[in-house]
Amino acid sequence: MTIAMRRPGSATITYPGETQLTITREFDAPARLLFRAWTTPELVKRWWGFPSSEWKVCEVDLRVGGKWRWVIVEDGMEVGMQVSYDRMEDVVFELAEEG
Amino acid sequence: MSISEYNPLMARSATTTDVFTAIGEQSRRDLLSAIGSAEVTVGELVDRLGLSQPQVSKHLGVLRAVDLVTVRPSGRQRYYSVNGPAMKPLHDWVSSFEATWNERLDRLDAVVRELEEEERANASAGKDPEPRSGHRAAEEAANEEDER
Repeated sequence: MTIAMRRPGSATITYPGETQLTITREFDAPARLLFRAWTTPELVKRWWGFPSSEWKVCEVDLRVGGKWRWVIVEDGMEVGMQVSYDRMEDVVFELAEEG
Repeated sequence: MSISEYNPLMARSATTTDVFTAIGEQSRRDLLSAIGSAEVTVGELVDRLGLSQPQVSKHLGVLRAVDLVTVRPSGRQRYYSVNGPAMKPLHDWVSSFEATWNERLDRLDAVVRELEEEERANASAGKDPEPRSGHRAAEEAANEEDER
């Protein structure tokens, strides 16, 4: 068995539009595992936010039109957000891989 | 990291207090860009920017007050240049956001690495690589649809 060398990459940040921000980072891992890490609440809690964050809410309603809701407490301040799932491109990718 | 780390007086300051407020005005950012890595005179900046001489002098005064611009007198001329190191607080402040994301994505990388190891361990134990979650089952059903 060979163990692939992993070097955590550096994210690049670009500003494609006035109100847009794109953070790009490459991972040496199958997309389906990244998809799981982004959409499974127990996994999300391990990397999203800050290491010192206290989690209040992390709910994933994984379907088009569904929402990812999260609330954390950081430095005594509650921060929360809702993210809508517009497309399920990675699911499509998963299907292609398993098909 | 907060801006106040560099200058605790910033909140109640005039434009000359620190580099953040000094570059808050477009003309002064233009001025810095126009100087670039060269040494230039006020006259050259007036020509290049289409501002009046008093305007250029005023802005240069603000930039000099926060050390973003330095002057070298030579004969009857005064040459202005950008003092790169004085921009460090600007760079650090912007970089702190990048660092936050890099650290966050490093944690994501660690989680994914663990998932991969789990899969590998399960595969060698001859188990199903992952439990069938609701959406996975739905995908497989959709996949079968597609194949028909």
